[in-house]
Amino acid sequence: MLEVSDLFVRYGRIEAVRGISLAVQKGEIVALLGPNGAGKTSLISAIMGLVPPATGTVRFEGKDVARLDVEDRVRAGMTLTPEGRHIFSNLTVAENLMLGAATRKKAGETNEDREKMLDMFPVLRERYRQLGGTLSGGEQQMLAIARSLMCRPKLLMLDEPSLGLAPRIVDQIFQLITNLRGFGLTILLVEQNAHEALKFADRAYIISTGRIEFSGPAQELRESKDLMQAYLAVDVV
Amino acid sequence: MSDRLFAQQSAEDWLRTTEGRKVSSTRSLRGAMVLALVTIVIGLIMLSFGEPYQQRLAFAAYVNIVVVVGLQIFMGNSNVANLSHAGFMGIGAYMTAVLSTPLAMKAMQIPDAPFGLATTEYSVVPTVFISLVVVAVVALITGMIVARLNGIAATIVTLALLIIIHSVFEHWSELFRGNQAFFGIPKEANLEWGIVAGALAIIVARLFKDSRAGVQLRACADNELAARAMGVNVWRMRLVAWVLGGTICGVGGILFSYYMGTINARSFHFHQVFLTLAMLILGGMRTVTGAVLGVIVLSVGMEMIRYVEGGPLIVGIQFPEMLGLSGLALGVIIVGCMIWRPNGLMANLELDEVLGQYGKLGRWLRPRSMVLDSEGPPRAGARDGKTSKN
Amino acid sequence: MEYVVQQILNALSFGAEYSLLALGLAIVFSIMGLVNFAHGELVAIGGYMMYAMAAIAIQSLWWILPLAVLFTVIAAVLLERVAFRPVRRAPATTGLLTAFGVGLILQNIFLLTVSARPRAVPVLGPLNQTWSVGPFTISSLQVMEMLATGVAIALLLLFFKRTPIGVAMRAAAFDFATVRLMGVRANRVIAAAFAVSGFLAGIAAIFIIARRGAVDPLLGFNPVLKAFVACVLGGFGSLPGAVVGGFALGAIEVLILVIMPQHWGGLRDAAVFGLVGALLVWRPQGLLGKTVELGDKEA
Repeated sequence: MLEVSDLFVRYGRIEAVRGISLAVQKGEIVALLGPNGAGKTSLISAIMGLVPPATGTVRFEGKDVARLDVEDRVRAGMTLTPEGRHIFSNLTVAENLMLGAATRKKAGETNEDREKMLDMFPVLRERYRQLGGTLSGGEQQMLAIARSLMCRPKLLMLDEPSLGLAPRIVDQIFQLITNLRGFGLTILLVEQNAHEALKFADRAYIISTGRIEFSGPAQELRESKDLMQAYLAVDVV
Repeated sequence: MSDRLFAQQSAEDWLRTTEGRKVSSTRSLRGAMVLALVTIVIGLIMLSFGEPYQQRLAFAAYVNIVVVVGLQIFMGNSNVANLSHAGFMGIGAYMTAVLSTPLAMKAMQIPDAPFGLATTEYSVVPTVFISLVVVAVVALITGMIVARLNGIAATIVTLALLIIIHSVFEHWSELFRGNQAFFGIPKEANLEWGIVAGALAIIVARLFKDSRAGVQLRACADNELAARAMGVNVWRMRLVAWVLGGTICGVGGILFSYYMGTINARSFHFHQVFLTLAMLILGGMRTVTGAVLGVIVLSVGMEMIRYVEGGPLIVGIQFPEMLGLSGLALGVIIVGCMIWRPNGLMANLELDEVLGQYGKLGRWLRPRSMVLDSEGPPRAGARDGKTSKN
Repeated sequence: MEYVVQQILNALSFGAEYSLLALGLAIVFSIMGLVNFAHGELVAIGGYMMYAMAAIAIQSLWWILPLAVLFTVIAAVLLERVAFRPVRRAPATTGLLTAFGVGLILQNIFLLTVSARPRAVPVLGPLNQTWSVGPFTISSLQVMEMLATGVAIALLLLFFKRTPIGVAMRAAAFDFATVRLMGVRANRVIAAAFAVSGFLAGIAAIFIIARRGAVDPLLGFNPVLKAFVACVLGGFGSLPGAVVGGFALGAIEVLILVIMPQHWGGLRDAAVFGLVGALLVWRPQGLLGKTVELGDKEA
């Protein structure tokens, strides 16, 4: 569904992404792992169109999306829940969700989806009329994901959903993400928390200093102590 | 940290050494002298060959050089748009008027002037001195407010300043004669004065730009948070630039008064602001050369446009009068520059930096050839000025 | 007592006009970070449109007023498209100077195409009547202006709360990049902002022209200055701040008018600016603004 070839992203003289190629098949959950500053966010921002790549191609469902603006990529079915959540603190939960559905035309379906979201994230129903800024970190993350889902995307990209959240909430969030697979979604997940992400990902890439250092089934990575230690600084007990 | 910030920090470290400072100010001085020389030569040509009205135009241009250079000192280094410089020019001009006009003239116009000014008259030197002090004091006080603020907020305060100063000129009739002309100012100044003042302003501005304060200020403009984290006192740097720039604008006003003999408040209001702003933007606000270039280009250009505006008779064809053409041109220049070339004609280069590539002149202009560019930190000692990647 | 009430009425009506103008400015700034110095020219455009319509023999106010507002809206959107879109990503100072330049261009276009002299617009005359209500003399304009401002603010509230584009605009004022991630087109949000700005300018134009009876090229100059001061007073970029600032400015002006001795009347403007300046020194973020430290992350 998503193919990235030979992508380079540069900020002035700094090369954040150096020739990365990856692919995500329909229905998969793929994890992008790696230490801080590896270029994961730059990569995902380039895929989404927030940052223009220096060279390389991004194809979504076979079509080259390089010429498309962010807004058009969203309409094509890609969506990103950005790092740090970026919910609209000055809008209510209801309004945040309304905005998520901004590209939808049919009011009936949109309402249905909203109900589904509120069922899936009951805390959002509780806080439906509250301002986004009053929600806790975990609740904001749920809102961000729900908001992304409101546009009925085909590909859901998540940038560090567990960042800054307490362990118990992290569990909740990841449980949610696993459930999302049942909606026919393809998921590309950027995470620093390799341990958790590998529990349910199908495949994983490890990115370090702008390059892919490993690519393969999540199982393989989970079982390889060397890899985990070398790139992810995880002491596997 | 951005590349430029890093380079400037290295430049600053270098400037902390005495050796660094000496080399840098030598370099600065020589560069400024080249630019000043150009303006002096132009001035001498005008003196020798120019018709009277051309000499008048040239003088106006020199006054504008002084004012725009003063503007550049603040705007170019702090990256904050300043709209009040015409006000400082006005303070200099009115101080001169009030202090040096002969008693007879004063009795006619401002008989009730406060502070006993109606009964005193000063000669040139004291007048200039007192006027400059007054301008500097006003700049200091206002600067303490402006320096504290950022970007847009600062600009709005400078706008308020312009309006307040203009308002005071217009309505404090006892002292400034309201919105009528103040005439009778002794016409002490001539083109020579203008040329000298212009050259001096250029040198001061250039020395400031390359001084530690100037370098620090530019670093702040790029990224204030990082600069403050490195211990740069943003507030003080801005204040210095503001006072220096304002005082130089005041010099322009003094020149103006002593040449024109008659002034009124309208000369120091929005029209002057737009004109000088356009000159700085066109030339390039980051460099002193840009300021001078902008003045020269626009002084000539506006004259030509005014000629057309007045409905000239060319080759037997009577062109219609088109009032508003010059204002339109000014606006188009400002917008055009902002859209296509926000850094102006000179962008980031001073005249000496452009000339500095060539032969003997180049070597003289670059003592010990400190290479300061965006490719990396400066490396002192390279003899031929060629850069090589680290 | 009557004097006090009279002055309160004056303050309210000045305040209403300044709020209208300030809101127009604040909307564009809050979404784009652009300080639109050319906003006053939008008011002038509205004025010249009314003059033009009267000149081609349209006499009915029912046609002139709505059409003038419509033209101003169109002009605002065009202005953005032509002049401001190229500098959209530039730093704030560039945008500010561009707006200045645009204002200058428009003023001189009026000068060149119409005339330097004011052009009378008598057709609005009937709006400007004096009514006697008991011991008070009110101008009908004052009442209508306050009403119009109230209605405009109410409409705006509805717009921002209920319509998708309005909600998107509020979101954009908070975080523009993320709004694009929702698939909402940046161009549309910005055009909408300018359209609303033009709408407010058009309404203000009606009252300004009705009061002066004529339109001239420099018409927009004063209003935009007042709008600025009001915005700054209330906290630049905040919409409620613009309204509060507008009324505060109205109150300050009337206060100064009342206090200052007549023969210093000219210094009134200076005094108002001075007072506002002092207020800003004490509270740089304006009456309703929040202090944002450099490096703060938003909530």
